[in-house]
Parts: sequence; C-alpha cells; structure tokens
Amino acid sequence: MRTGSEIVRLRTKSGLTQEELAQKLFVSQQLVSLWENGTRRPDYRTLERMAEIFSVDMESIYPADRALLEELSSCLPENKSFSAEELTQRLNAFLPLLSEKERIAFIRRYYFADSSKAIASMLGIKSNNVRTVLSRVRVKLKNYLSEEEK
Amino acid sequence: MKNKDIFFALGGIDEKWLAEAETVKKQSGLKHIFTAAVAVAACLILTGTGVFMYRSGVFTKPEPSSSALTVSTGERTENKEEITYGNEPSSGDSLGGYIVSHPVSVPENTKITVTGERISDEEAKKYLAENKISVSEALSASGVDAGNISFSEKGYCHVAYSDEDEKTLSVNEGCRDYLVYNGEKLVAIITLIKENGVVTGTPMFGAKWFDGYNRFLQKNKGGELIYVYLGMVELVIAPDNTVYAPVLSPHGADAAKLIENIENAYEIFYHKSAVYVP
Repeated sequence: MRTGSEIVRLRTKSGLTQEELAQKLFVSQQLVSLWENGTRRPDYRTLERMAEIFSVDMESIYPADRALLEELSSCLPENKSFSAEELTQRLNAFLPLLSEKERIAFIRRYYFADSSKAIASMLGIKSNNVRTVLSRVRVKLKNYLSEEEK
Repeated sequence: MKNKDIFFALGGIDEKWLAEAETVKKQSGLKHIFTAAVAVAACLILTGTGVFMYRSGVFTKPEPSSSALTVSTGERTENKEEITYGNEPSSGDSLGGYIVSHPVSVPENTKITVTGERISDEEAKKYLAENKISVSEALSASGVDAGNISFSEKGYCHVAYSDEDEKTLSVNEGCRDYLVYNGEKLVAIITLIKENGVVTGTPMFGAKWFDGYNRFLQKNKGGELIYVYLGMVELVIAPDNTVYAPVLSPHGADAAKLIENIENAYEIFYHKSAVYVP
C-alpha cells in the first residue's frame, strides 16, 4: 500500500508540516508519518476531516482500486445502511470470528491492498486458495452484516 | 451505503489485527531470506563442485569469486552532565495507534530478529543525492529554511519491541532514518523504505521537538545511540542508559520509566543496524 504519497503532496501543497496537519486532525505526528509511509490508513472520520482541510474528496486522497471496490461491494447486504462508525465497529466485531488465515487474507487484501499472489506467498498457499478464502470471507461478512441488522 | 464506504471504514480496523497481518508479512520475508540462504548454499556447493571439476581437468577456466564484509564500531562515552532538552509542551498532541504507556517487561527471547530488505548507506546516499532538490523544495514549501541542507552520512533502523502474545525483538533493515540538517540545525528526518528492491523516502519535518532532539544528539556526540520502537513510541538509549523519547520527552514524560523493568536495556536492545553515532 503506497497511497500515502497523495497525503504528502496535498499537505506540502497546503504549506502544512506533519505536525500542523496532525494538530488539525487531533492525531499524533507519528501517525501522520505512518499514513505518509503507507503503513497505516486514516479511519473514516479522519479521512473526512482531511478531505475538508485539503478541499478534495476522500477518494482522491485514497484512490481505491476498482477491482478491490467490486470485491468489497459483494460484502454489503442489499437495502441496508450503516454509518461509517457502525461499519467500522462491526468490522472489528466480525474479525475475531474468522480463522487467523481468513483474517490475515482479508486484512492484507482490503486494508493493505496486497494482491492474491502476494498474500499466497505470505500464507504459503496457492493464489486460487487465497481467492477462495476471500470469497468465503466476503459471504460471511455479508451474512454477518445482514444478521446484525435484524 | 456505497462500496467506497466500506473501503474507507476499513481504515478503522483495530491495531491488533493490523499487527497480526504485518507479522505474517515479516515472517514471510524471513522465509524468503532462508530460501535465499539455501540458494546461496546450493551455489557454493555447485561452485565447489565446479572447482573440483576444474582441478580434475573437466573445465579450463573457473570463475573467481569474492565477498566483502564490513563491521562498524563506535566508541561508547560516559557523560553525566545534566541537561534539559525540552520544548514548550503543546496541547492536543495525542499519539494515536498502539501506544505503550506502562513499563514493559524483559522479552522472553532477547534475540533480535532481522527483517526487511536491507538498505545500505550507499543506496541511501544515492537516493538522498538524487532527491536533494525535491526534499529542499518540500521543506521550503512548508516554511522551513532549507537553503543549505545536508544529510547524515549514516542512518539508523529501530529495534521494535512487540508486546503481543509473545514479547519479541526485531529490526527492520528495510526501514532506515536519515537526519537532514540545514547548517547545524536539524530540520527533517527522512525515513527510507526498501520494498522489492526499490527505495522510497518520506520526510518528516517542522517538528517542535527537533531542537530538543538535536541537543540530545549533540550531548551524545561520538556515542553509539540505540533506537527502539515500543509500539509506536520511539526511544533513543544512550550508552549511559539515558533514555530520550524525541516526541514524548520534550513534553515532560519520563521515557526511562517505560523500560525501567529492563536491566541493561542498552545491551538488550543493542543491534548494529539500530546504532547511530551523532
């Protein structure tokens, strides 16, 4: 995940130091540094505030790969809606229900935006197995989000 | 609900799950190093076989091979002088992420595992020389005087203390910090990261704690400083076991308390990749 470079560009364009941006977002400078290094992603609300500060939309700060978004769209139950906080909260409640392998594959794919091939190498399994695992997790997440709504 | 929302919501995943996913990547890196080591061993065996065959008259021209190993050493100095490094504390400076706020205990295993693709000082020097202008421009754009910048000759990695299920120590040699000076003044720290053979850098500049940190470096000039990450808290340990946290210390925090349970912290955290001699 190397998308932090856009934050560097927008921040320097705005004439802000990492510390100044951190203060505006009520986070630490270290965290801003981690975003810019690409080792962490801002949460939804922080990203929203950042988009306001830079007067851009969130997607231009963190452009999501189209294939990734299509995969993620299958996790969402039809005709259900969640606030960003609810969704994050439910994701955090859902993750412990997965096996370690499923959880790692899910996070590496959808948080760190790693390819199936890279995940396969990390987990010592075949790419096809990774795709199967991810597909299974997406179904589980969809069911979980649907059930929680009942 | 849009699918983009779930992508952005993923940014709020608990740190423990992210750490778990990162650990797997690091372990995988180690496996690759092991594989590479096996491949090197195989090459050596083949080379040995080749030399044997040459000597037996099968080949007429063996290829010579050579290797170089450099070991850096530094002097340890004792300095008991009392000195203040602090800057004015500012409000609203929360650290976020995984923060160690209690004294940590001695790791079960004090062996420091090496991870990452090693960045050599030569590679770093090349990257920094090529990017000197853009760094200078980025500094100037942020209002930092950058008319005469220079980079530290050597960089340093961090020994990371993991406080997960098992307390472990590791050093990522693919992540290395270099100091940027404008004249005598520390104006930025550039973190270089090497992935898939490619080095990239992110500068951090304009921090209020730079002056205090620079004074700490000056005080310990010539000594081997050790850099440690306790979660996201950066500590610098001097040879006399003085502990300085660049971000926390200027705000009055007693960084030494975080490792007060670890006797000989300097020796335990010592790794040549995490050494910087100011």
